[in-house]
Amino acid sequence: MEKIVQCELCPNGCILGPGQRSRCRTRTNSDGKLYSLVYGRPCAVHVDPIEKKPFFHFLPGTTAFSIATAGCVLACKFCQNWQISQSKPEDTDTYDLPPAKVISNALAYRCASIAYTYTEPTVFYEYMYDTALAARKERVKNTMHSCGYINERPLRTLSKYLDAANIDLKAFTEDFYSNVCGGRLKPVLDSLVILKEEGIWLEITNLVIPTLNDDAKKIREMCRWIVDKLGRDVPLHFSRFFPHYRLTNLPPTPIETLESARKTALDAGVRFAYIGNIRHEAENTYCPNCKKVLIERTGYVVKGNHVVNGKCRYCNTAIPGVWN
Amino acid sequence: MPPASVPSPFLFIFMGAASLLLQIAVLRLLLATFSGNELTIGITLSFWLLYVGIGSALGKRFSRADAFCYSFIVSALFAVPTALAIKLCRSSSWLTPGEATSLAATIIATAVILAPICLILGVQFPLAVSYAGSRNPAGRVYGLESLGACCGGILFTFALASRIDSLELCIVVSLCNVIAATYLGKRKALLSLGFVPLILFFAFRAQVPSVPMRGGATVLSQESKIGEITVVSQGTQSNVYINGQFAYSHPDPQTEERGIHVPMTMHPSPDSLLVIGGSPGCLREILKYTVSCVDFIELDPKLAALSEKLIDAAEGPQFLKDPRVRIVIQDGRRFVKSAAKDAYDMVIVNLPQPTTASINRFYTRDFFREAKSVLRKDGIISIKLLSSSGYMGRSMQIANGSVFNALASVFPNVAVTSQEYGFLFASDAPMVTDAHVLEARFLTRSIPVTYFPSSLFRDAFSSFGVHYVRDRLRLTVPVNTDARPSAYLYNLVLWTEVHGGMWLGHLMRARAWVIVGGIVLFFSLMAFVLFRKKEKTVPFTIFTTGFASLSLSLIAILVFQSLHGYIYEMIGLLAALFMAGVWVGASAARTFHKPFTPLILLDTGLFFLAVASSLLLREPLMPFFVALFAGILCGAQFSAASFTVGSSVAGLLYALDLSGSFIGALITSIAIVPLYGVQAAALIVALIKLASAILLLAFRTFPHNSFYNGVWRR
Amino acid sequence: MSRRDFLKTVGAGILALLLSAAVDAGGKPEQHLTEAMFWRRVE
Repeated sequence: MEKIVQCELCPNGCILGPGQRSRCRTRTNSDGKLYSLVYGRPCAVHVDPIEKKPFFHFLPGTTAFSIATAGCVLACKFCQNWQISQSKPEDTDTYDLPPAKVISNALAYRCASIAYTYTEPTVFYEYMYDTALAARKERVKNTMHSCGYINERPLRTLSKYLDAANIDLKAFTEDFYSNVCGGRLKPVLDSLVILKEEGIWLEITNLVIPTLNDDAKKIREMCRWIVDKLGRDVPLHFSRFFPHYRLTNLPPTPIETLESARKTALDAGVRFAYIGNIRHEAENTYCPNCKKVLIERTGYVVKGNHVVNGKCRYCNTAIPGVWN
Repeated sequence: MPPASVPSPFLFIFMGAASLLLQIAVLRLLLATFSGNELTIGITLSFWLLYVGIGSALGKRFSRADAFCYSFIVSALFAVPTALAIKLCRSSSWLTPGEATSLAATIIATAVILAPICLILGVQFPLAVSYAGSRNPAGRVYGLESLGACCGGILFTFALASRIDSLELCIVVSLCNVIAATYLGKRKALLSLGFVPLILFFAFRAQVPSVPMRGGATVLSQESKIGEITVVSQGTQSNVYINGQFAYSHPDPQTEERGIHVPMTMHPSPDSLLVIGGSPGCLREILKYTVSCVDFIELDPKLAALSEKLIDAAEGPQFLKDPRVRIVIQDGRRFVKSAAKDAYDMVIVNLPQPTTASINRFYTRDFFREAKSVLRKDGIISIKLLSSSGYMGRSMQIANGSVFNALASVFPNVAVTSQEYGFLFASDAPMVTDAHVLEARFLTRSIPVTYFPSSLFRDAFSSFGVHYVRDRLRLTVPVNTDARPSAYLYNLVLWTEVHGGMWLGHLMRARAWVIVGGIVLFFSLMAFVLFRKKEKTVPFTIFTTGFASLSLSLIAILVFQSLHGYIYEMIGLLAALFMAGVWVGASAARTFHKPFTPLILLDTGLFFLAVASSLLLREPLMPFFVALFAGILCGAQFSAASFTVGSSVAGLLYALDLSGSFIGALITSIAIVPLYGVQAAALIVALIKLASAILLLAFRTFPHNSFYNGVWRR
Repeated sequence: MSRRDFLKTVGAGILALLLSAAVDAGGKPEQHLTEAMFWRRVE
């Protein structure tokens, strides 16, 4: 019998012969068994404000103990983390940080949550899963920033221990996903629906890249889909693009483009639309009812928080999110 | 059939000048299409030399008497289409708009586009030799052609650059070629062929767009001294591209505010500033402070004019009339060299990353020393390096680390910011890096800003982030200097990682054994090919002379830069000196009666020149001396060698000379100098020439005349 | 240069390359393997 295995973690579904490496560079077939090469070996370890992920409706003003390993399931041409996402684990300098150590560090740095972020946490699924399980026991929350390119079964399994997810919805066309990211849109949309079904706190990030995905019609379509399938309460972050990796010949997104995207989202019924990667009044959270500033942010710093027990201090409207 | 009388030397001088001008035009167009660093220049030059070499080896097959005349016509017919093809390349659909071209695409496109025009230029050389028909015609043509190239280079540098664009240059050269052919063929009807390039030029000039990105309107496209400047507008935002690469957007207050207010806050009382390069919006931000003088240095007059126009449109003319602002159009290194001592509180370097040798000059220890002398006692220099987020990869670590080391070797205090910001600050006096103190300092100055959160200091100077960057940079060993530009090398490594794979990185990390094995294999193959018959040692000499000539020119350029601190205008002069030397050498050697002995002497001469240049690195006149004498010795060698082996193989010798030059240019500029320094590069040249002299000495007893006639006449 | 000399130098070059490969193989960092969670055998 051939010792061929198929990875069932993400829609890439790599079929690997002995010794072969998966597309995400972190999995290998050794003698007919599939192994992860990055368990407990993160190369990026930082303590970041939760706003940096970005999570705006999840424990504002706290810090997240953030980890990532090498590798990614996609290959976006604009990746700002390409030095880890597009390299092999053995080409990076790593820390030895098993799950227990992640928890003890998170506690030592007084982080309210652990964030699986920077690259694509799906590639270190086993490490993330074990860490999340241990963190739950210590009452540390688990968040991930992901591209949502993951199969249903692993995602539902992880959801038991996950508290919040920020999913990159990179564009609303299959063309963009196949030409710029080397993936497909459909699985990402499926993941969004699954996360909502599982009751995970969900926020969405859309990086607006000039000329590639800034078409107003497509943005409107995307916002309608979000309202329709995920509801009006999912916060939507429009991020400013900066030239990175291979897309170095496009300019930063004009501010008007971001502002009009945000307006499109609000018009489509999204209740919380933000502008990110730039200081703007649309970094603040406004009460959808009385329109007052509820959470005032500059950069990653929360200057004022008027959400009390999940409600607007001024008009008592319930504000969706995880507040304590 | 050679004409009875010796033809006018002007024809060959013109041929050299026309060929060089076409080369410049095509090179500039290619650089504007593909990312313009030394690696892409190397690729272009390699194909150029390869095809010209093949062409000159093929050229002797054309025996028609009027072939030389027609070569000018064919070259005239191909020049404009070549230029148009390069321009079309950019708008073709094999790229995501805005994506920098991959290395593979660059190589394939260059290989295909250059082939026709270069083959024609190559064929011209042996045709010219057979047309010249005097005693040692190859030596004569070689010398005159070099003189022509020298004139062409001077003409371009001082008269044509920034006055006409590359396409216009192609059409001018084409028309001159038609006139030359008419004069040669003595048939007026040939003149009518000039209409072909003219029609192509006017028909397609406006049709072929020069768009670095789609979806915007190109509002300006012009060529300047340093390359092509394009402005693409998108709503109210103007995006400036230099050589097809995105440089900056205007207005982009977020980037401008961050780029200025972080450095300005580092200094307790910035009063007098020097800003090198950058977008015009930086000036607006600086003038929000109570400063007494701002010197803004820009190398390119057209870019400076564009900056002024953009400020005018956005802010009104008061900024340029502000008496505190002085816009200086000059090379930054040169300016710093001549500026008054202790004149500035801050030097802000606002340049792109050192992916080219010329930009790397602003990131070296030598520059930092010069900057230190113009800074006041508590003055601060601020530079910006590549930023990353999450993790800094190994190549970026070395690229940034060698600049960090260069700063640390000059200034006792160096401060870093966390990864996403990429700032490095250095000063003789201790600097405040406490985020809260900096935030308070910024707030007390009450600078009006729109997009700059004062809380940014907490992120930029978070102890976790700062420690990570410092620890990562400290681990690096190389120090970036003028004579050994390691930051530039590792930026190239990083660039290839983005655009085409890991090969350059692997090469840099290769173990000594791999290199030794590779060199043994390479030289055994070369030796087998070249010395299967002992008499091939003369071609070997020409090959190594080609190598030596380009390496020595490069060494002269690098030494000039490290001695005088600037280079821009001087490259033209050094190249002209070299070419003039070639002409002098070739003319002088043409009359040797027994050229074989001079060959050995000239080889020895090159050996001593290389040794001398490695010893005289600190002498102010050394670069001129090296460029001129390298030219004389190389020119004389080519002339003597071609006389030795006979003019029938002149084409082959020319091809070997070119391939040697190419290898010299490529290896010296992207490997030997960055890895081992200028001195080592000179010694390698000395070793190679010594080997070639010994080989010549060993075989000198051959009765050369009868011998070579027997071997080389097929 | 004779054919024999040529073959000798080529042999030396290949030997050096092999040696370096061997040195490289010896110095490779060990891989940390942990069995993955979601996968199947392909029959």
